[in-house]
Amino acid sequence: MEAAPGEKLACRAHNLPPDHPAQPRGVISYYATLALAAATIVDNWLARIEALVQEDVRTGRLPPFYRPYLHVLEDGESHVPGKVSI
Amino acid sequence: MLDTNASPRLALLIAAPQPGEVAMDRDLAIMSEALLARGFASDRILCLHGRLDRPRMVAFLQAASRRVAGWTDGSVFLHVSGHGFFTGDTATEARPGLWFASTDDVTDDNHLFWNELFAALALPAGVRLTLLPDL
Repeated sequence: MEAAPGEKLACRAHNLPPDHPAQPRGVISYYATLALAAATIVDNWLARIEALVQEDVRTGRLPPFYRPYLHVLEDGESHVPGKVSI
Repeated sequence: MLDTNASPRLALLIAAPQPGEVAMDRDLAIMSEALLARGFASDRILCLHGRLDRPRMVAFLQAASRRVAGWTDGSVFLHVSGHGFFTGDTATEARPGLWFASTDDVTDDNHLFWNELFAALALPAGVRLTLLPDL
């Protein structure tokens, strides 16, 4: 997308495609929520998100151009919200 | 379920759909369920959803800020599902924000820059913020 100089650029994150069994959901929110159950720190939360995305791309449930590219901006060792069930 | 986290914590879940969209509200509801399943107390999860604008967002964030004002440690989790925008013609000038409705004036109530959001939240030193933006 390109905006004219001096104008704003809108961004709309993908929702899951219409034939995905979990739609309607935001792509990032869907995988982040799914991955949260087993995560302990931000780094392994992100790794789990990426693994789930990769699996859905591999099986054709998520078109490759829907793939989110997420980055941890600061401390990947910090704990994720809540605690893991044991 | 074992919750050994003695530090105070709070989750702020925000769904900012534009007309006709339902995914954001589902994102909020399912994130809330996921946090409850991880031992979050329901009174530690604050939700804002529906037709949002700058005043509603700022009021919500300021209320959260008052709640954590006395904390010296702990964590706040902020999940936002909605839409965003950028202004600026270069990476250096870029200012991102949340976009609540289809208007183009970034100074109106349908826009909130991220730096304004963080200013309204005003977390005390020692309180960690984990931000998950889905925009």
